[in-house]
Amino acid sequence: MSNITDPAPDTSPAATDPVERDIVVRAPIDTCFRVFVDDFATWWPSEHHIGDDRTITNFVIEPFVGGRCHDVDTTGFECQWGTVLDLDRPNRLVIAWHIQGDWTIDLDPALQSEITVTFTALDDHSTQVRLVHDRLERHGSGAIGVRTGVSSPGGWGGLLLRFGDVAEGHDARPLPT
Amino acid sequence: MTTNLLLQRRGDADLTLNALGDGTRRAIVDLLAERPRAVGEIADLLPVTRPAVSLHLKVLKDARLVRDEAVGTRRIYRLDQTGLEMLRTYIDRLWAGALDRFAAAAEATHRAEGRDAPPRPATTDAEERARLAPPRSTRTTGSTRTTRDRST
Repeated sequence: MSNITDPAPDTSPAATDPVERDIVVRAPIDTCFRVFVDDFATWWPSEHHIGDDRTITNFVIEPFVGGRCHDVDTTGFECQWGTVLDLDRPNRLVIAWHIQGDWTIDLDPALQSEITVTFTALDDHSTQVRLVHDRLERHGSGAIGVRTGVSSPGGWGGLLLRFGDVAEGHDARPLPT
Repeated sequence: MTTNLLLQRRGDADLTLNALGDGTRRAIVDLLAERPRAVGEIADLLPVTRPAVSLHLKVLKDARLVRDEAVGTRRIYRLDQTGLEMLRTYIDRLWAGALDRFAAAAEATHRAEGRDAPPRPATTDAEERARLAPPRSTRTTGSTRTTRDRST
């Protein structure tokens, strides 16, 4: 009888691979950084927000370490989906991403992936912008639950009750503590 | 369309909740969270028979909580990460469209500030751009979610 050879880590490589994107922008590095951060609302696709019933009036990246990345809807509600982890104007921006695999938001740092945006001047009027969104496995660790959390009320069961609440159009109940 | 999406998600949630509404199945999920395992190994660790474990695994698989793969003559079960895979796909498409919009905005700003920018070659998939770019699309990925945290 053969042994199971080296059980693979319980993550699908495809699901946790970093998302990497490069683009060359015909604008100086200072302009690129400013538009990316300070003029975020001018380019962020407005349909990308959480909550079908919300009409968004603004998208914001607060330009300092610890700043919130959030949208604002017509009721004034601010939905924070990210946090600025590092900001080195005009070279680099790192943002934590708090949107989980079940489309809820959890600000727990153990459950956040990271977006690193690097700006490199190619010459005086063109800039390479490289975006890497990695640590995606952290969302998986939340979704499947750590060993001790799986059978606890705040583990799978609680998460799925929240999922059910939202699927039925209610606010998700708070997780038990 | 939204209603269909809601119903579908409601159905998924019911399936998942039902699958986890059983102590043995929760114990199986617990064991698979540690590492992937074969049916026999799970049966050895729980006070249930191997056929019973197989039936429980089928319920969990139908709910997309676990998936299986053949390794040699054995079938190895592991937790399914469908949610994570969906999230990665969303993120990948999101950045493809968003970065094009960003580049266009940065170049427009640059032009408005007085210096001409030469045309930028297309660097990402045009179809993605077309899908993501319309600013008033009614399609909203993750549309039925609400947030748990109101920021302080």
